[in-house]
Amino acid sequence: MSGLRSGRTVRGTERLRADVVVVGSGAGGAPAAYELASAGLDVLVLEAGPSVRPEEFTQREVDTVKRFYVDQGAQGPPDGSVRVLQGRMVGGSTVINGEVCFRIPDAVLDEWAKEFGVRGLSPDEMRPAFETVERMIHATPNAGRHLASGRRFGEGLVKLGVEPKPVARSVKDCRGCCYCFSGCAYGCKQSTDQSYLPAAYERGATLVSEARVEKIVFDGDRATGVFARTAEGALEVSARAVVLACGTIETPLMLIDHELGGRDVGRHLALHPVLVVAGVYEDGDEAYRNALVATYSDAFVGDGYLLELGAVAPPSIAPLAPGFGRHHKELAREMGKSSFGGAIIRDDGSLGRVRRGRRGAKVIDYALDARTKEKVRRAMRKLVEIAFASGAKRVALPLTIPFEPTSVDDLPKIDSLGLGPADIAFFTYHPQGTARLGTVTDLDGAVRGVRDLYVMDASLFPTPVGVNTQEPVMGVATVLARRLAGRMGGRSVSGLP
Amino acid sequence: MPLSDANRSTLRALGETLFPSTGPTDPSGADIVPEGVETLIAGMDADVVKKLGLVLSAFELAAIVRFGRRFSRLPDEKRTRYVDGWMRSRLAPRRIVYRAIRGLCAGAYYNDDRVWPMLGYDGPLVGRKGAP
Repeated sequence: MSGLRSGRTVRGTERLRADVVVVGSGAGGAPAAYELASAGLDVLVLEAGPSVRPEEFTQREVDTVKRFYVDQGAQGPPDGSVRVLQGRMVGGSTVINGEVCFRIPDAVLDEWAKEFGVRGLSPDEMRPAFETVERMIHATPNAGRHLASGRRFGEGLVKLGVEPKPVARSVKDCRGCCYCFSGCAYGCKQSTDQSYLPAAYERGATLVSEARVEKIVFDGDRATGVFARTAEGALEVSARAVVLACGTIETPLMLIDHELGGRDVGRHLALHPVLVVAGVYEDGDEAYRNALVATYSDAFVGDGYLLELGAVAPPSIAPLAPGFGRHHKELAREMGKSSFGGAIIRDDGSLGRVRRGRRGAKVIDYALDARTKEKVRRAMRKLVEIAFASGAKRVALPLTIPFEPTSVDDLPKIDSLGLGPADIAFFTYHPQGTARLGTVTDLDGAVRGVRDLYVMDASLFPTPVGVNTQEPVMGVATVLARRLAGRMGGRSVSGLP
Repeated sequence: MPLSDANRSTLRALGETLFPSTGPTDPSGADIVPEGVETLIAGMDADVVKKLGLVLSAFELAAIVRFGRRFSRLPDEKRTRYVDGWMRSRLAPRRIVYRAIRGLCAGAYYNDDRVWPMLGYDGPLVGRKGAP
């Protein structure tokens, strides 16, 4: 049997057998499953979340967040300083991302090799994997009207001497509705449920949705399968190898629960906090009726951040208007005619951690270190400068205590703003680095101390990649899955490194 | 576990103070926030909902210390001063509570269809005639 099956059809305890059982169906699990199945191996994917059809998405962000985001969108450190947004459905976070595609920058791969001893993920070795990924998810640079949402901020950037570039996105025939974070109601987004997973099913893989893996089963030091619960039953799966691709928050917890991974597991959590600054224009238009993210600039990567420009629907951006009361409402009502500049902050000195707290609760610790705070400050100064250069009459920042710069003359005031966890709020779709390659796992992603247990998701990243994580995760999972397939006697597939 | 009646009164007062009506096409948060928050938290872990209830109660009752009356029974001007005090507090935990409450109320308010005309927003496209 191959294809998609709902865990709701499982009655009693069913015993299943596969060559490889993959836990998770997002950016890590789906490409891993596809590569392993392409090599002729029998693959079973278990996904805790439900399968969702495009028609079920309402273009109301709150509906999707409530139904299909982890912890109903409330996941993050207890101080609320960063919302850690992840999808919980077949396709994982690839269903609710902004589709932005970047390869892992060469400088980051070099850093992994030099500082962490990572082998086999050099730019040359990654290239064929990224080529496969980009073909599978249809990564295509924005053109025409899909550039429009970034136009205003882009004009400001040009005035500062920097040319924005079109973002590549994983989408086919994008309608430009802007509701990417709510899930694509048209099925245009090439999330793994629309791209990798159907291709894996064609190659014999099976996915069971709404099957939550509770235990990894061992025979001595060998992982031999998993135990999963469904609504009205259970699955006992035996396999020659187990691949964890539950994402950067759940994968380390799974390892911790099995007393695996050593001292380092759960540590070095990086989040890529996203700093969003909105510009409001006298003569603004409904820029949001286009692509969510239009353009980007890597001109400031040396300063610690990547810029992305776009626009989002008014209900999502209006809360950014500062403060409360009448003054807040006056700006909020104009936010429909806004555009945003977002800075993805590369928090490579992060002190973040995922751990178990009292009564087994999931705990995310996170705080900006001094270097990352300085990156945030630089990004904020630059975004405000761009906004005014673009002709914005007002600028909104995600600060607790309102600060409303009125011109570039106010830029020095940014230097004295508090940036503690109570002062500024971020969100992220990019958690990384809690089961790092070379420490928690070996360089093939095999968990140290046991055999036949692998990690293939963003938790492997030794340092944050500094770009949107979808394609980086897919690329690394592709390389590691091809290697695993080779070791398990699978057929050679093209581009096998 | 739903919120208490007292929590709902706090949310109603918060809705009015955070998102007051500024004109005939601009609905007050008082009429939207309590119901919206209950929708947002429906299905969340009982522990989370319980914690929210406690935070709202603490916010409501701490007004007695400063103004001699609970928050929801204060006149508008004092409510504004009270919320402003939390927002600008020198104590980080107070600012964190303010931000959490404001964030939840803003999510409830701005995701309500009745508020969208004020934002110049005509809502989702899906299912609309002639929509992409």
